[in-house]
Amino acid sequence: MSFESLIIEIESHPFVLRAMLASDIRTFVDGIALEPKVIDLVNALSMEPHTKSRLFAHILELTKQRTDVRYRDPHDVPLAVYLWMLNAIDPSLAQLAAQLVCPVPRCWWAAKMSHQILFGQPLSRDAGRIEDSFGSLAVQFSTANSAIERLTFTNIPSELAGDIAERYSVSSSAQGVQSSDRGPNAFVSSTNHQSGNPRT
Amino acid sequence: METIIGRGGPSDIRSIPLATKLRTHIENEIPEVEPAPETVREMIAMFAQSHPLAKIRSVTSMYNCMGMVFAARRTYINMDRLGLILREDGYERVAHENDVQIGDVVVYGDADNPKHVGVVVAVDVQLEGSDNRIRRLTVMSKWGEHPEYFHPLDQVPERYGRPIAFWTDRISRQ
Repeated sequence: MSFESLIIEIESHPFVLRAMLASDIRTFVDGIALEPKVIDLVNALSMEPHTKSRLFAHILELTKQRTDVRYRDPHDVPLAVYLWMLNAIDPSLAQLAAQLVCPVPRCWWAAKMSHQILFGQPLSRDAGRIEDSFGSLAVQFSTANSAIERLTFTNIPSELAGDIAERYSVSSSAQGVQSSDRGPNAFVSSTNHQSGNPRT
Repeated sequence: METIIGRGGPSDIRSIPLATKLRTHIENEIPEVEPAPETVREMIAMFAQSHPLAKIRSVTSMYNCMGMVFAARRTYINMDRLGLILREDGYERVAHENDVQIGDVVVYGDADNPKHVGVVVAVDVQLEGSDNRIRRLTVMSKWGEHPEYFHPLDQVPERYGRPIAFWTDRISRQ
């Protein structure tokens, strides 16, 4: 099956609706990991290096699309799936992709997935087991900043590097995540984009 | 770019104050918006044929199964909070399905991996044969972002697995 065909399947309503049965990000991963088209695309990603670039380009394309401001982003589920697949194949590239997806408004699953990738929470399929849930699944913030600090443009497909550099400053994004606040308190940090997100 | 550190934590603007009886904060998060109407319509149609006995109670994506059971339908709670809530809210495991009563919580999953929760809302005893009593449980549960349903105990989407445990917060004074 071609890359385009797999993408169409993953962005189809039946696929998206099945994924939306998930209760949380771990059950979301549980569900998509069993989807045949996801398995096919992961295989393609691992065997054909250029597919990785194409998927990254596709993610970038989806993040640029304007969508109805009243509702959930229609690419929410596919973006989350693509991030998860990239993370399985190339974590560094996935971190960069997550930087692109994270600011996309009105996403739910994609926001959670990008957050998990950037901030290092485990995405293992059995992380929600009952014995774990009786304990504490500490957010591994210690890996977050180091992951962001490692981000470079070296993994970006060359044809995309200019586009990304124009839209994002990875170094300034990293500065926006304040390493001093790693406790349970949440905060919203603003980072300096060279240009804003095109979405409204 | 907005980066939320500590999603679902006490000061996350998309979470609500929510705690166990022992006052441990329960991480939670409310979605910003609902899916588009056409997506919702397809959700409603999705199980009409495969799960004919499941009846829709409410259509919204603003809470999940955990939020329905433990947060009065106000927010999303991750499944990994289940153990904390059961323990700190004083739930006790119901040993046998025959002892389950209305209001008890059913946990679905595979082995010890919980994937879904619901509340028992009806227990019907039916006679099969001369004196064989069959208890049929009706559960109310929220299917991810899909609607909230009334459904027979075993009529849930396949990916939720099967009922693996029942828990109760009934308090006996006897």
